[in-house]
Parts: sequence; structure tokens; C-alpha cells
Amino acid sequence: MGKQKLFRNTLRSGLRSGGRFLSLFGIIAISAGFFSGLKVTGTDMKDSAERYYRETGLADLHLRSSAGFDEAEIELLAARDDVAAVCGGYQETVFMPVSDDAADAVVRIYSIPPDGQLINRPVLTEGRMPEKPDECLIEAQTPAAIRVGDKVRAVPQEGQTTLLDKTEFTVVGRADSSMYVDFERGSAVIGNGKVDCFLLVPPDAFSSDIYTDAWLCLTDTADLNSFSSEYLDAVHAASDAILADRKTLTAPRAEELWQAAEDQLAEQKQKLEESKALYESGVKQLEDAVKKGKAELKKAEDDLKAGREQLDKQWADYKKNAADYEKQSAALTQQQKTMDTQEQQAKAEIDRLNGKISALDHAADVVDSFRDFQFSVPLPDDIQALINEMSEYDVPEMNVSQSMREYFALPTDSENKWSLADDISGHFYNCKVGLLNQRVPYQDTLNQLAVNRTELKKNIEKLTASNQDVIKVKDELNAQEKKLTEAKLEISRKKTDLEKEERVEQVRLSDAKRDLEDGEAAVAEAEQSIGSAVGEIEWYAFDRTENPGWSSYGEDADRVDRIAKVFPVFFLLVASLVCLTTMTRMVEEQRTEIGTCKALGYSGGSIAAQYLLYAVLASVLGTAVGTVVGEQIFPRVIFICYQMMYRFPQIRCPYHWGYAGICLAAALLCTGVTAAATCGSEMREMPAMLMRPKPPKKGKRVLLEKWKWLWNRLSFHTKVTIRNFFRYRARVLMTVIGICGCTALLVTGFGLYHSIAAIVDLQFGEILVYDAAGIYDGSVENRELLRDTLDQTEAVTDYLFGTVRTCTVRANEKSYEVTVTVPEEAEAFSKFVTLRDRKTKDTFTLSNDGIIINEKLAKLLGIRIGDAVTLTDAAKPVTVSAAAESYALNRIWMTPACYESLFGEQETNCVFINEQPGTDEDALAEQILQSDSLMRLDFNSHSGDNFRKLVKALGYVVAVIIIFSGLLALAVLYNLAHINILERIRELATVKVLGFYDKEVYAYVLRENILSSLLGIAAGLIVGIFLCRYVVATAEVDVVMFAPGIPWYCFVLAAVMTMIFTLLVNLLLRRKLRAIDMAGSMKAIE
Amino acid sequence: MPFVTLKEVCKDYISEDIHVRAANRVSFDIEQGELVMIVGPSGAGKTTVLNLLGGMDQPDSGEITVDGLRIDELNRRGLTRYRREDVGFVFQFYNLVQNLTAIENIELASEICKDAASPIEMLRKVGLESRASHFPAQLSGGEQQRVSIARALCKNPKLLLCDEPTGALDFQTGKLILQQLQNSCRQDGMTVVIITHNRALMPMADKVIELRGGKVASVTKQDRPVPVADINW
Repeated sequence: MGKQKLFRNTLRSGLRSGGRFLSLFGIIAISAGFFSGLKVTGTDMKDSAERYYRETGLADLHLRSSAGFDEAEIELLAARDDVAAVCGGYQETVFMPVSDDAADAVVRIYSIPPDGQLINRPVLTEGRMPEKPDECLIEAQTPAAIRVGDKVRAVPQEGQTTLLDKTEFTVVGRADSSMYVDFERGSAVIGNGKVDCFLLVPPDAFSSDIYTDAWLCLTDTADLNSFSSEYLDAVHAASDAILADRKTLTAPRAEELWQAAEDQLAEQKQKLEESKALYESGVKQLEDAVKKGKAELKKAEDDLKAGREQLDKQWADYKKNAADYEKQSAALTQQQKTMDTQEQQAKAEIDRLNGKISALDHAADVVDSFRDFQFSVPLPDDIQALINEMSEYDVPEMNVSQSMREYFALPTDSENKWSLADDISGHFYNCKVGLLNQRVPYQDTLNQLAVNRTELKKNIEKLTASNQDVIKVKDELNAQEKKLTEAKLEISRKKTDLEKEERVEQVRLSDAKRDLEDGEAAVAEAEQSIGSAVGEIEWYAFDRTENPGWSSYGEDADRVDRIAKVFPVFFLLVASLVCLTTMTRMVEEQRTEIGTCKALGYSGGSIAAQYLLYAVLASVLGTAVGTVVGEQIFPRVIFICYQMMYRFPQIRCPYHWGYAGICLAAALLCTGVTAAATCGSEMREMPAMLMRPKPPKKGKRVLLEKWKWLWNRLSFHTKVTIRNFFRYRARVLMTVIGICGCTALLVTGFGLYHSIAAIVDLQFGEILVYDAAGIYDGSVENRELLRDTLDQTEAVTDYLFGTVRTCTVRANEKSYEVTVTVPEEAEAFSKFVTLRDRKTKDTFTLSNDGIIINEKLAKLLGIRIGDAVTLTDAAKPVTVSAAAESYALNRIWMTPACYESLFGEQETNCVFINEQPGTDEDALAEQILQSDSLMRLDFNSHSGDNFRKLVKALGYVVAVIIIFSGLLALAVLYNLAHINILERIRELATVKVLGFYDKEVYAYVLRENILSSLLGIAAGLIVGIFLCRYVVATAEVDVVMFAPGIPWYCFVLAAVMTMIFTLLVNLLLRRKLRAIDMAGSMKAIE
Repeated sequence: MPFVTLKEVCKDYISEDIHVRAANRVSFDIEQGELVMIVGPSGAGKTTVLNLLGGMDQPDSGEITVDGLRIDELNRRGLTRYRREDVGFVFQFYNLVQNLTAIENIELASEICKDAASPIEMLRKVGLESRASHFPAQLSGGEQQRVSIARALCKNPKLLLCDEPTGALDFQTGKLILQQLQNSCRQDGMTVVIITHNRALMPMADKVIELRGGKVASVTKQDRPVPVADINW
């Protein structure tokens, strides 16, 4: 009966102090929720994934063979004990046109496993499964333009041969595949090097009988969680066993292949023989042809020479004839000229003589006519003139002029006259006869000349005629000359043609010869190696770690797990302290009641029980609500964040009793045990003592007061604050610890976020400064092809060939997988990768006497600069010359010389590319990949984007942590400050009665809060550094280094946020302070 | 016009279903420099009246005037100023701040008051200057009450209100305290209101107001108050 009353009291006090119960419940619920929620998230994530993998039968092992798999091999595999199920399948990567204005998508086509087998079973999200060979399933990543019901085409790249039987498929549904849980679809050697999506088709859509892939589920892994190390061990064991039995498994097929290879070899040999014969006849033909051509040429040349000589002779004749003609012609002309002169002279003489004769005749006539006429003297002028004229004929015998004068003057009658006249006329006649005689020779000459001229003319005509002949000869000669020149040209042309033909033929023949030799060598080699080439069918086993989605999801879940390791524990610690204080305070407050009950005769146990009941009630309720809510909310919220990166159907959040148990235990420990302990100590006192309230804490001087000089200078309120601060040091300490914890959590949250977020920009912006890296097969042809392509690509500013390989590095009995990068030219490497010290930012240069490793690797291996490490397959250990800043993957850099000393000759297989700013990378990728020389091309911007997504998801996780830290800070501060006010309510009432204004009252008490908050923040900032460092170190995985160091803004943010919480709490407390009932509070007994 | 006037003052306390009329139409006057004693049995409304007079609470109706100031009309801040400037309190349980020394407790009041008397002077007045730097816990009850009185007086209030100032003290000490109060009234002209349930103290007052059931039962003016030393109980 009594117990019932006590119980009722407990319930009533629980209800009455609803605020306190609620705050106790709240703190327990929040911290239990936070603790269990965060703790179970990683497990829930993994379990949900595991469940999904199991339901869809994700293969444990993926085999690929150098020769594919035939049905017999699949059956052999299926018959093995360690293989639970096996399924042969196909895959092919081709283009898929999306729409007119979008680039073709690169699509990887997989065959859907047959119905009976639970291996890589797609999960339909829309539509139905394909039933016909030309039906297919699309997936979530398929470009949005393609929908269920559409038709899609599979287009191979130029020159690509595909196994596909169909090229057009009807989309009948959409599905998820557990092979792809993230949004990466792998790399391709076509298009831009990236697979955009996958397509699922029935196996009939492939034409080949030989499977490209074999998917295996193992027997040993049936009960193992695939994220556990036992699972990986089992898979490794099985894969090793299968690979070890490879020879047996592939024997029948090897035999078959052997036969095929031998047939092929025989055929090859046959062909070789044929081409050999062909080559030899070719050589002979060429020789004959050349000989004949040369002979013809020689004859033509000789003919030409003879013609030449003849022509030259003719030319000489012609020249002589021409000269003769000239000479003769000149002579004839001369003759003609002479004749002309003679003729002229003769004619002139004749004319003169004729004149004279006619003059004589005239004079005779005149004389005759004037026989009957007498002239008076002087004689008329004309007669006189005639006389003068005739004076020339005066001869001694006869003076004509005298006679004439006489004559004319003689009278007509004179006798003389007539005689005279006769004399004169006689004379004249004589003279005339003389003249005529004189004229005769001239006449002869003229006649002779005329004869001569006729002859001459004949001669000239003859000459001219002969000359015509000569001219004709010249034309002929010229024509001949032209012919000769043409012949000469013809010959030289023929000569060139012949030479050319010979050359071409020779080249062809030498090619043929080389081919022949190659063929011979190949056949020889094939003959020799037919055993090893066909007998060794290479198998490659890929486990789930090769599935990027699987491994990164596992890592992400691990990361959440690691963060959950520290944060909630710290949280729980702080919450425990608060519960402790609250419970202690509560029991102390109820002191009077305890005393009364004790005085009434209740046993100590039953009194204590009611407080225990209170504590248990708060603990159980708080834990129940907290864990139920927390274990649902945290995994779901964080999973939603990670759904940005992964595609899982859903998360399952079972209730984890274990964590609930831990929370309950912690809560009970903090509340129940505290309650019991406090009760115990109270109950040792006498009831009478208990009936009176515990005397208030006595005032005490603080140490500072000894320093009078300073103390006296402090303001009164400062003194009060300082004294109170020390008076309630237990509670102040709690507050400081609480605030410190909150600040530290915030610093850690921000710091952790920074550590992860900073990696992206550091790694992809400052360390790996190249924009893209391509991998090719290492062949010289592809290298040259690539070099040409890159040289021609305008967007590429710079490139550098190098070698990238993975190997294992060992030191101090530890070993890690590393990526070894060897640039072809160590000097140019700084343009592509910055090797520097993280702290000093001093850059390192690669030298021949050591390698540079990344900082994290140095830490993992526990080595210092100057230590030696061993690389697998390396000839000797090598010295580490520097540890460089790098955040993702473990890396080693070395010079070509260094590489050569370790591994032998360097064979480049990758190229680092820098591009112009603002380059369209998709277009660039397409341009570079078009040459078909690269196996893959990765852009740093792309890798960075993936990382950014991860950072975003982690950002949300951190945000959740920050929000909860804030809630914790609020709860802690409020609770403690509330207790502070309750404990000192009389004092505060007094102060109010004394007439302190509200503000002064707030200041009186909240100043202490602010002081303790400041102390807490200061401590928290320091603790935060260590906590952050610890959390960062814990959350880190082996292949990633988080950026260490906490930037100042994290501290500022943490401090400011805590301060805001403090002020918020102060604001809440103001209302409490305002509501203090002065009169009522003063009443209590002291 | 009397120095203090209460006119038809009513005050109800309502908590959940219980309705208590603590002061029912209370009216009385107090002259300046008077030593007034309010008596009555427990629950008669003595403390309610004192709280109303001291500005710790406000009446539901009626008027309260102190030196011309209508304190029933004051707002929260006005009331605080009234307490700060015009009223001194002495409580049954002294209500000293435990964490402050005697002198500091007085300073707590003097710090916020405009023309406060020197704290050490006040301590001397109550005869405790030698204990100035002692904490309350190091003082006896009487000494604590004297510090309390010094704290109330140091701000030169218009009104000194004492709620059962001797209730927790033995006879001798109580007498000493009462003497102190009477002295301030007589010597310094302080208006003093003392609440007590001890009717034996009545003769020392100038005026005795008796309350019963929240009402004023009687107001008795005594022309010849008896010095404290002559009172025995």
C-alpha cells in the first residue's frame, strides 16, 4: 500500500517537473538516437547492399578467357564443388544512336542470364522481360530520349566486328542490375572512351557459340557477407583454385584450338608457298622487261645518232650551195652593173653624136634654105648662134664659120653664094659622115651588150632556179631536225619511264619479299610456338573488388562506420555528464521529501527505488524512442545522401538490439546509478537533518582576492561573477566540458568536411595538373599514330608520354599496391604533375638516384626519406628521395633511367595531355579516340566530379553531425543553466527585490554562463584539433589521404555557432529569470 | 495627505482551482516617520500587504500611494525602480547573498542606488564594521539580520519594510534588531513598517494595523510608544 503511494509520488513528481523529465528524456533520446543511428548506418548500408546482391545473385567471380568459353568449359566449371552456379554470357560495346541532335551513346550490351539461374539477375523496374532476340531492356542511365517501347539500334564503330546477330532492338522494359550500383559504367575503347549505359538482351541476340564471359557464384561464399574479409579470402581461394585448374578445364577446348591452329598454319604455309612463287616470277618478269626496254632504248639512241650525222652532212652541203649561190649571184649582179654602165656610156655617146648630126643636118638645112636670102650685116642673132655653134667644125682647110658668115651675108645673086653654100653643105656632110663613123662602134657596143644581157639574164634565171632547190633542201632539213629532236625527247621519256617502272617494281618486289620473309618468320614462329600459343588459354578472374560500384560503396560504408566510431562516443560522453548532473540535482532537491519519507518509516531502499524508477523510466523511454527513431532516420538520411552516387532499390533498417542495449546501459549507468548513489549519500544522514534543506554552499574567497591590487580594481559585478564561478565550479566544469564537447564536435565536423572537400581541388587542381590521361597498348605504331593525332589536335597544348603500371611496394614487412608513373622526360613532367612538399610547397624534381612516393604511402610503410623500398619484379631495392603531396591512390614517381635500372627498358603506355582552357572535352575525346590508338582516356575533370559527389554525400553526413552537436549543446547548456537558476533562486529573488532591473538580473547570472561558454569554446577549439585529427586519421582509408590541417574558418564557424547556441539558451533562460516569483522564493527556510 | 495610503486594495491568488482572496478591500494610511506594525495570525494577508507595499506584487484593484507616487499604476520597470530607489526590505531569513561578504552584500544594494550611504558607514551604524569581510555563513543570525538592515537602509529608502525580522532570532537578539529599527525611525525619521505575528511587540509601534482574513480588523494609533528595551515577551 505504502509502496503504491510512493510510486504515485514518483509519477507525480515526474509529471510535475515535466520540464526536467522531458529534458532528461530528451538528452537520452538524442544521444541514444545519434549513437545508435550513426553506429548502425554503415552496417545497414552494407546489409541492404548485401541483401540486394543476394536477391539478384551478383556473381562472386567473373571469368574472362583469351579464347572465350564454350559450352563444355561452362559445364566443367559448373561441375566443380566450389562453384555453386555458373553462367556463360556475352558482352559487346557499340554505339547506340540516341537522337538527331545528341551524340551517339556508347552502350555495353550484356546477355541476360537464362531464366533458371540466379546470377546477375536484372531487376525489372518497368515493362517486361525480353522474350525475343530483338527485344532488350534499358536501364536508369539510358539517355532520357529512349523510352520503353522505342526501338534502338546497335551500331559498331567503323572496322569493328561484333558478335551481335541483331542490330535493332525493341525496348520492352527497364531494369537495374546489381553489377552497376553506382553511376559509372566503365570505360570503352570506342567513342569518348566512356560507356554511357548498358543494354540487356537475350543471349540469342549474339551470333557466337563461344561465350565472352563466365559468371560464377561460389559455394563457400553462400553464408558470408560480401563486405567481410572472410568473403574476400574465400573468393580469392576459389579463384586461385579455378585458375590453377585452368589447364584441365580448358584441355578439350585447347585440343580443338590446337587442331584449328594447325590447320590454319598449314593454310598459312600453303599461302606462303604460293606467294613465294608469285614473287619469284615477278622478279623474273621484271628483269626481262627491264632488259627488253633497255635494248629498245639503245637502238633508238643509235638511230638517232645516225640520223644526226646525216643531217649534219646535208646541212654542210646546203651551206656550201647556199654560199656558191651567193657568190654567183654577186658576180652576175656585178656583170649586170658593168653592162649597165657600158650601155649608158654607149647610149650617151650615141645621143651626143646623134645631136651633133642633127645639128649639122639642121645647119645644112638652114644653109640650104637661105640660098636665096641675104642677111644684112650684122646677122640676126639666131643665125649668129648657129654660126657660133658650127664654129666647132672649123678645120684648117675650111673655116666654116667664116664661110657661113660670108654665105649669109652674100647677096643672093652672088655666085659665090651657092658655091659657098655647097662648100658648106659639103663640109657639113663630111663632118656628118665623120660623126656617123664615130657612132658606129658605139652602136656595136650596144648590140654586143644586148647579146650579153640576154645571156646574163639566162644565167640569173638559172641561178634562181638552182637557189629554189637549195631553199627547199633547207626546209626539208629543218623538218628532219624537228623529227630528230622529237625522237630524242621520246627516248629520254622512255628512259625515265623505264627507270620509274623498274623502281616501282623493285619496291613492290622488296615489299613482297619482306612480306614473304615476315610470313616465313610467322610461320616459323607459329610452327615453333603452336604448342604454347594454343595450349595456354589465359584466364582472367575478376572478383567484386573489380566492380567499382561495389568497392566504392563498401568504402563509403566503411567511412561512415569510421566516423561513427568516434563522434557518437564523444557525444554519449557529454550527454552522460549532463544526465549525471541532472539526476544529482534532482535527488538533492527532493531532500526534504526523502527526509519526510524516512521519518515516516519507509526503508532506504524503497525511497531510493522511486528515484531509480524515475531514472529507469527516463532511460528506457529515452533509449527506446531515441534508438527507434535514430536507427531509422540516420541510415535513411545518409542513404538518401549516398543515393546521389549509388542506385540501390532501398535500404532496410532493422532494429539493432545491441546498440539499444548499449544506449540503455549507458543511460541507466548515468541516471540510475547516479540516483542510487546520491540517494545513498543522502540517506546516511539523519531524517531530521534531511528535513532541513541542505545548507547553501558557503561563500568562499577566491585565490584572486589575495592579489588586492587587481581585485580592488575589478568592478563589483566582475567580482561577484568570479566568485560565483568558483563557487559552483562543479557545474561550471560541466558546462565547460559540455560546451567544449560541442565546439570540438563542430570543429571536427567542419574540419572533416574540409579535409575531404579540399582533396578534390588539391588533387585534381594542384597536384595532377594534366587534364587527361590516355592509356594505349604500348606499341610503336599506336604511339606514332597518337603523336600525330595529338599534334594535329588544336585543343591539345601539350602532351607527354610515359609509363604507368601497378606493382606492390614493400618495406618494413608491409606491402601496398601502388601506381608507378614514369614520364618519358623527367624535366617536362612538372607541367603535368606537381610534386611538392605538402607543408613547405617546395617542389621536388625527379632524379635518377631515387623515387618519389606519396606522403601517405611513406606513412603507411613507416619509412623516412633515404630509406629503401622493394618493388615487385624490380632488380634491386630503391631509395626514396622524397615524399610528395598526393591524396588519392598510393603512387610512385621515378625517372626513366631509374625505371630502367629496376625493370629494364621502359615501354611507354600512357600519355598525359594538357588542353586549352575551355575545351569541349567530349569533342576532344572523340577526336583523339577516333585514331583508334588509345585503349582508354580519362579526364581529370571527370574523376574530380565523381569525387565531388562523394564529398557532397559526406557533407550531408557532416551536416547531420553538426546539427546533432548543436542540439547537444543546446540541451547541455539549457539543462545546466536551468539547474544553476534553480539552485540560486533565492539569491536571484533577493537581487530582484533589491531593485535590479531585468537586464541587470540577466547579466548577474548569465555572465557566468557566457564566461563558462567562452572557456568551453576555447577548450573545445583545442580539443577539436585533436579530435579532428583523430577522426580524420580514423576515417581515412589506405588509398586516400585526407587533407590534414584545419583552416581557420572551421574554428571561427565552430566558435560562432557555439556562441549562437549559448545566446539562444540565454534567451530561453531570460524568460525563466523574468518569471521568478520574488515573494515566493524568499519564503523558503534557510 | 498621508505619506502612504492604501485605498480599497484587493489581491487574489489563483492557483489551479483554488481561489484565495489574500487582501480584501484593505485601506489604511501611514504618516512619514511612523513606526507601523502590521499584526495578525498566519494567513491574515500580512505578507500580501507588505509585498504590495514593497512593489513586489501588484494589487488587482484599489490604490496604493507612496509619497505621492501611485505604485499600483507602475509598470514592471517602474516597480523595479521603486524597489530600487524608495524601499528597503528586511526579511525573516535575511536573504543575504551567500557568496558575498557582509560589506559586499551592502554594496550589492548601494551599487545600484543613486545616493546611497557609504556601506562601511552603514555597517558601523549596525555595529558590525569589524565583520565587514565575513561571509554570511560566518555570521550569527542576529549579525546577518543586522547586515540585512544595513543593506536595506544604505540606499536611504522612503520606506523600510520588515517581514518578521525577529522570527528566526532568539529574544535578546530580536530585541537588538527591533532596537535598531526603532532607532532608525526615531533618530533618522525613517518610515518603518514591521510585520509580525507577535502581538507582544505591538507597544513599540506608533500605529498598529491588525489584519484578519485579508481584511483590516482595526487600526490603533498609540500616542506613547514604548521603547524596545521595556518590552518583554
